[in-house]
Amino acid sequence: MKTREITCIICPSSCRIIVTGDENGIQDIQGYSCNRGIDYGQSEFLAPSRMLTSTIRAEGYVTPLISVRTDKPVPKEQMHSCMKEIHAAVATAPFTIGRVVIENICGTGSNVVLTNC
Amino acid sequence: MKAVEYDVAVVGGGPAGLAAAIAAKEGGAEWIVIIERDIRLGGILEQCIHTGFGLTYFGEELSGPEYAWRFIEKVEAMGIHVELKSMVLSIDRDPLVIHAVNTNGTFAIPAKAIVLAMGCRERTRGAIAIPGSRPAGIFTAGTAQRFVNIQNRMVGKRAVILGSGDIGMIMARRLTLEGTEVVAVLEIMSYLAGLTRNRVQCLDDFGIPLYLEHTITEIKGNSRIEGIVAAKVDQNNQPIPGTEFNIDCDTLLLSVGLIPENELSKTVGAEMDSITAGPIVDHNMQTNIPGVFACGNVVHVNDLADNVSRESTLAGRAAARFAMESYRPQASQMVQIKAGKNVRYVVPQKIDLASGEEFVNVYFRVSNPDKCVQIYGAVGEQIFSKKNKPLVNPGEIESLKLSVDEIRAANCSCVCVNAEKQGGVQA
Repeated sequence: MKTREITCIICPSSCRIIVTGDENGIQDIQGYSCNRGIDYGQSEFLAPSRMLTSTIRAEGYVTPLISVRTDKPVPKEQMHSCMKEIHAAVATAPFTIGRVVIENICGTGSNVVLTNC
Repeated sequence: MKAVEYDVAVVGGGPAGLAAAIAAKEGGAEWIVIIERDIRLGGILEQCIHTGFGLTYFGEELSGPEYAWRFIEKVEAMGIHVELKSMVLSIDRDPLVIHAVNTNGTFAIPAKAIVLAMGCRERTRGAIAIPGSRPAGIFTAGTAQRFVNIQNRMVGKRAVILGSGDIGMIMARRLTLEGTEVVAVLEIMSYLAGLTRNRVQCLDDFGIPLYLEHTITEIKGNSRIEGIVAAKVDQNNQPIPGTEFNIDCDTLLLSVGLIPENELSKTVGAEMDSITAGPIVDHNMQTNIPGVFACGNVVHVNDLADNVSRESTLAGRAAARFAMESYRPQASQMVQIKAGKNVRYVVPQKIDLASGEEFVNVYFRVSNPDKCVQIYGAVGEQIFSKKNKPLVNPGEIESLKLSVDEIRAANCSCVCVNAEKQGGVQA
């Protein structure tokens, strides 16, 4: 059993969430001020994940790069391997927001989608 | 170009200008133009590819370009006129005329109301006077962001970041993900300049060390920066002799603050606030020049784009009312809003008691971080709109909802906004 203090990153309030538990589950969670804070505290304690944002080379776009992000958070420790896959890829038209350009990146279950058009 | 008179002309196509133009249209103004110097709308949001936008305004987490697109789509659908690649040079009053230039030459845009939405620019090395040589490899954080996120250019291999503002921390993460080693973030103050969540997800996540109460005392290198000398500072922000240490780097990013870009506001004669470096505005975001409104980072540097959009909606709506001649502020009904205890500045600086709202939100930054704080308005001994806040930080904008009726009943010319340690206030 361990207790961890987690600073919530969901909104600027930066709540300090105190989570007690072990790898099998959470015994106690305090200090949050909204439901999204509970979710963040739980996932940060059990399996930290982050929304990954980056850019991808774009052929035929107005600038050399177009911005992308994952449609779901990816495990924190896989951010660097996801970046390798993003670096190797090239996006082509049509450039529309939300269009998937890499499916299931690094087997995380998250897709990489365009965030500009 | 033929000089058509617009109802509302908006200078700047970033988050402030977009929201103001939409609100002006929704408020009934018919002929609206946005004048933008870049090749597309969106302003700085185009290079802010990280998420965190829209949480309060749309209730979802968006990247900068996605957030901008929500507004651009609407601007296009509403048939709001847009002049891209056009730079405004000056603004005349009596009557209001914008003078601009693009590749076709100079042109004039007469307008019944004008919204200033030029945003801000970054403070540079020159503004903070770092000693040492003047090699290549020193960038403001936003310039580096543009190179990396838009132009596909890396800035270096081993970077130090001076200043813990949000853009600096976000660039620390971005450079790390792109393969640059970020070896240190230095902050002269004893607290973080940006949002705490950015320290967690941009620095802590990648093990990037943050040195509070540290600054740079020397830049080394001739053609390219080769390193810096860092030192701890004392309570007066002066380097403490003997605490210096070297950090090797080929890149230095400066994230040392933003300055509202108000050269144009001055050409029209807008009265400025010496603390915010932006125009003094009333709660409808009108400057002292009738018909000239201002919103977003040109008024004061905001922490969140969502706050800019909200504030700019007020400006756009009021500009439409002004253009349709259904609103004229009354100088006699203006109450000053002043910064009180531990408050650095308040926006708006004036409330027009005659304009019909029941409540007015004022926004402010505290001077120093504090815990267990009471935020309240005060007229002499009289205290109202009191609320508690567990934590305040100069990096994050606070707000207070003031009752116009209460202010009217106090029969005063000035209200002070305070953020005082709990217990210091007599109930």
